[in-house]
Amino acid sequence: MSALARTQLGRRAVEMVVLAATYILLARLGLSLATVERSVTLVWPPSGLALAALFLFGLRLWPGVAVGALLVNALTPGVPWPTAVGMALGNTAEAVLGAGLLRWSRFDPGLRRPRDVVKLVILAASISTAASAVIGSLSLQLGGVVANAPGVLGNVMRVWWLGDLMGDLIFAPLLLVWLSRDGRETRLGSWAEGGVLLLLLAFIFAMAAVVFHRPASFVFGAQPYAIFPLLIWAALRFGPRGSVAANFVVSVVSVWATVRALGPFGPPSLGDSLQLLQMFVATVALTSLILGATAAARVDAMRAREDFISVAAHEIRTPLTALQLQVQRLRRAVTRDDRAAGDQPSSRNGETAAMIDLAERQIVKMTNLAEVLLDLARLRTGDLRLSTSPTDLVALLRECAESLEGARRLSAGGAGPAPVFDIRVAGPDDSRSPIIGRWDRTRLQQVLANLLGNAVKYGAGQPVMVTVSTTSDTATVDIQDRGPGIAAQDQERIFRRYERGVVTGGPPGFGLGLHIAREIVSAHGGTISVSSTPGNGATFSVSLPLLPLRKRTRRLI
Amino acid sequence: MTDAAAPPRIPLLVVEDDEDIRSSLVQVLEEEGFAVSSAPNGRVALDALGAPERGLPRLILLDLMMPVLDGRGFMDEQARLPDLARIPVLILSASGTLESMERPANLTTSVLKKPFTLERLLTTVRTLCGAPG
Repeated sequence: MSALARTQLGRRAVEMVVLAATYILLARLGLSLATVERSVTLVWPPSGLALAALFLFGLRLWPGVAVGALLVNALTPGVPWPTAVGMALGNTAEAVLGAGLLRWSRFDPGLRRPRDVVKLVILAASISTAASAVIGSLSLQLGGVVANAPGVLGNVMRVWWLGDLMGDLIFAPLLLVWLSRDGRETRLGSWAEGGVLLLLLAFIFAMAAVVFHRPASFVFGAQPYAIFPLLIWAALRFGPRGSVAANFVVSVVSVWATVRALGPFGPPSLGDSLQLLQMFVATVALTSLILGATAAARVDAMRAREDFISVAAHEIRTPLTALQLQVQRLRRAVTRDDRAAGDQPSSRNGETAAMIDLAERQIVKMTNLAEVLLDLARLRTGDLRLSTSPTDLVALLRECAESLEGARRLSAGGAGPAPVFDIRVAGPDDSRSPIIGRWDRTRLQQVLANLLGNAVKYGAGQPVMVTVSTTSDTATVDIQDRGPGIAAQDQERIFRRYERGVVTGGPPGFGLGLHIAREIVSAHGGTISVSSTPGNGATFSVSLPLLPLRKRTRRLI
Repeated sequence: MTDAAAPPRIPLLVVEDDEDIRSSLVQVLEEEGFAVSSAPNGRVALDALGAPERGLPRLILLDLMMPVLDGRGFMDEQARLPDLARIPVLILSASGTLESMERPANLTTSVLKKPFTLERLLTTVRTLCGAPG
């Protein structure tokens, strides 16, 4: 046997021992909670463990389940060993059948689609558990552990089946969702989100304690359905991870209290109240699993759409590169031609140059469009990453202004119109002093270019006043145009997606520039706002923190 | 700018799978006086570098997404060969997330985002191989 094979075998043996030990631990817990007919319990967590372990880590771990189950049953007082073997056989068959059916049906352990919840409920929780219930109950009767009277076998079978079903419904999802490695989840976790989830679970725990831990006779206490708002919240906010954790908390608290004859299901006899509780917990679990899966399915669909936009924008860039290079080569050829012609450039070349100008402008528009789409996709998926470095706000402003002035000069045919921007740094001392903060240079440039560009576009050809000022912790840029201004009811709207100011015959656009600008500024921890009196121009103000920014939180779903 | 006496032609290597972009790059760089060879993917490029006809290039212009051997794979192999690791790489990428990309530590790399202007391309290439503008 090779060393590698030995190592693998050793690892598998360790996995089986861990599985068997955990199985025994959970089984003792299950038996201690609610023993009816000595060996049959209404809540059987080991079923969930065995199902999840065989599904996630391979059916070949089945001996771990068999050994664990055999030891548990053999250690239960009054169970002869052939009966224990029969019961262990049933437990193992259930786990292998359940995990096998789930694998066969291409079940996704992340429980991110309602259809996966349905697969879990039908294939594992309902069908596979029946195998164990039948084999186990027959073993008990053959071994003389339960009476050979009419109706007894059926009752034991039903109770056994429901107990295993609960294990697959509460405990298996917890393990499946939290232990399965899912590519979609890896980058989503953050400490802050984890904290929120823990807080919510603590609330659910407290609420469950209030509902289930009151004396059974105290009818006017909180009713079991009081738990639903928090459960729904957990499922919608955190998806499957939230729903399975919340289910677990609720079922632990409610079972623990009910076996102590507390809470709304407390009286009259333990068997009856546990069956009532079973119905309740199963309802809670199903509701919350389906809700969590639906929420996750929505998030996944949205992400798929954003991915598509991002891929499409990326694909557009490639042909644009070749197109741009060729058009610029064409321009060079024409320029060379002109130069060769000396003093008399042909009018034909002039025309060609104009055509090339137009083609280039369209390429630039197309390029910008692709960038805007990419930005939008990044914003929607929370992927807008800032790479911050010490950046001089004043220099950046001048750079943007100069490049816009350059473009204006170019479109005005080279004859220089008066510069449109008047940049001033407020403060008594040197107006050229830099204002430096830790910002993302490229992103900030994008914001300033957008705002300055808008000021020119909507500024009716009037000069644009740009003022930079600072307080101890904030730098502010005010960009004031003398255009028609923005009506009060439009001032918030223009920052939303696909919205544009109402300017009759105004320049065309996507209405995304300001939205993206606002997202970039708020990613920096800053704010962007507008003030305007219609007819009197508009002032856009960008405030940026001069101190390092906090980490942004991401959602866990 | 082409009036000056022609200096010895600087060898460049363009690695790009899109045929139109590859030929455009070769054409514009040849027009600027560089000696340009090209390869449609990282594997062909490595083979060509193993048997250089015109000596090793002074700069490699590298696309990232390519079949057979992509840009990242190319750089990994390049970094392992001391002769090749000395050649600076200009990454031409259409991807939006380059800032966080992992690159072999012993390579000199720069990034040019697609689409780029002819002007940008020429300035960057000249700077990187120390050619007179």
